[in-house]
Amino acid sequence: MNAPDRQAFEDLAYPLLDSAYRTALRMTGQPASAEDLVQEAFMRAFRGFAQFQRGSNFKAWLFRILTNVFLNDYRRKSREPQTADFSEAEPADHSAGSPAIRAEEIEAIRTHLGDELSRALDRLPSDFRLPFLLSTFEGFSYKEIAEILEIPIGTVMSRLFRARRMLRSELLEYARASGYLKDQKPS
Amino acid sequence: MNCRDTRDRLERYLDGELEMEANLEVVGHLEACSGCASVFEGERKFLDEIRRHGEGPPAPAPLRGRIERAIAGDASPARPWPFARAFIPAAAAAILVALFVSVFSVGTAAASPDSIAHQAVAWHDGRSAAVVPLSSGPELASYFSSKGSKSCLHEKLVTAAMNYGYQSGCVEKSGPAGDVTCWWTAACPKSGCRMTHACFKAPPGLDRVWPPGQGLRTIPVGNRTVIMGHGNGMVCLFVMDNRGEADRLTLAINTPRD
Repeated sequence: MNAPDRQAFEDLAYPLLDSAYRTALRMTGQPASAEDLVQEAFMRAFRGFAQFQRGSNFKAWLFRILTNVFLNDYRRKSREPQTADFSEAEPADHSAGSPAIRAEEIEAIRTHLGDELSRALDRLPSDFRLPFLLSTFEGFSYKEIAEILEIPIGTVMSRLFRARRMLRSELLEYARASGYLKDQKPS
Repeated sequence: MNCRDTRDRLERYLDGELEMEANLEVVGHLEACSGCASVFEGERKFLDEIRRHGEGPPAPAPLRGRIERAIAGDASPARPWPFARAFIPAAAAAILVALFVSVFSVGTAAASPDSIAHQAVAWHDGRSAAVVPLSSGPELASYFSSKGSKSCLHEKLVTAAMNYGYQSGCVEKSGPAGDVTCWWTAACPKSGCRMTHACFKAPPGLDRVWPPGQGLRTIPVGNRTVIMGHGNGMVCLFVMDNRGEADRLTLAINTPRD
């Protein structure tokens, strides 16, 4: 790769280092593994930079590589089981009938659940965690997530919505068990 | 638009995924329906809290340097990774078998010196695993420690006697003996020759075919040469690019140093 190309790659890639690391950390759960994962993804992106279509979405392209390295090289070696595809059996109207989250529940999450949120995120199966991370923290659209994860957009939506419900339910259950929320049954 | 249709669009509305017309319908309904407005507001606040608490830390400062070094090494066929200049006096290294220092889990695969040598050469030539650019003994030691492992580094032998510079390290869960293996690589800036070193727990059964403490074995594999030691329950080996460098290493190992 010649020098201007390398400069172009670095100008695009390094501003995304924090985002890539945060996502990698949520994927692997281990700082050292996250660093290795990000480094490998950046190396592959650098080597494949000629295939990147200039003017298209570099962040989505880089995160697709990051995700592929994670799914192919890291998850395969880990003990995490593949998630059963039960999410696809969800009804289409994902949100219909969702109960309102109450003000005191928001308050309990806001004041007490920082650490538990981290643990609850780590407990999500990666099939659900990845769409959630990409949407919630990285702001990718459903279409971009579908391209990054190479799954249909409907699957992105069902997994994302389900991940949010799982997270919410876990956090509120924890808040009740810990006494931060009282006298209300889980809604 | 009724409440059910509106709530069906809750997620897509909050994620900004609705077409303009559908979006306006939701906005219109929320203005008129306090029940739905409260559901939407609760969900929005919930997601805001998740974002606020869950964003995670920025990348550690040294990571960018590591990537830059890796890219610099990758960009040129001359592999201009920074070669080690640090020379840190270490305890005298008489022979390899005296230098095994490691704490690993129990190995499972049966292996012979030949099969270990072939796998080490395959790694040396293929570098299948992700390696981390590391250019000094302390960097390597700290890397292995961060992975919960240890490896002998043979610093005097590698940097002073052989004039090689460390290049990279790697910890693999399944190495030549099917167990956790610490790899590191080094290269000679003058000749361009490379060496790969591996350190791992001796696999079960190796004692029968190769009793420990009997000195080094030199095993040619194609153009490469593997020099291997076995003792204290550990195996430690070097893969050298060619016979000449292997001879130089053997001589260096057998030459007493201070």
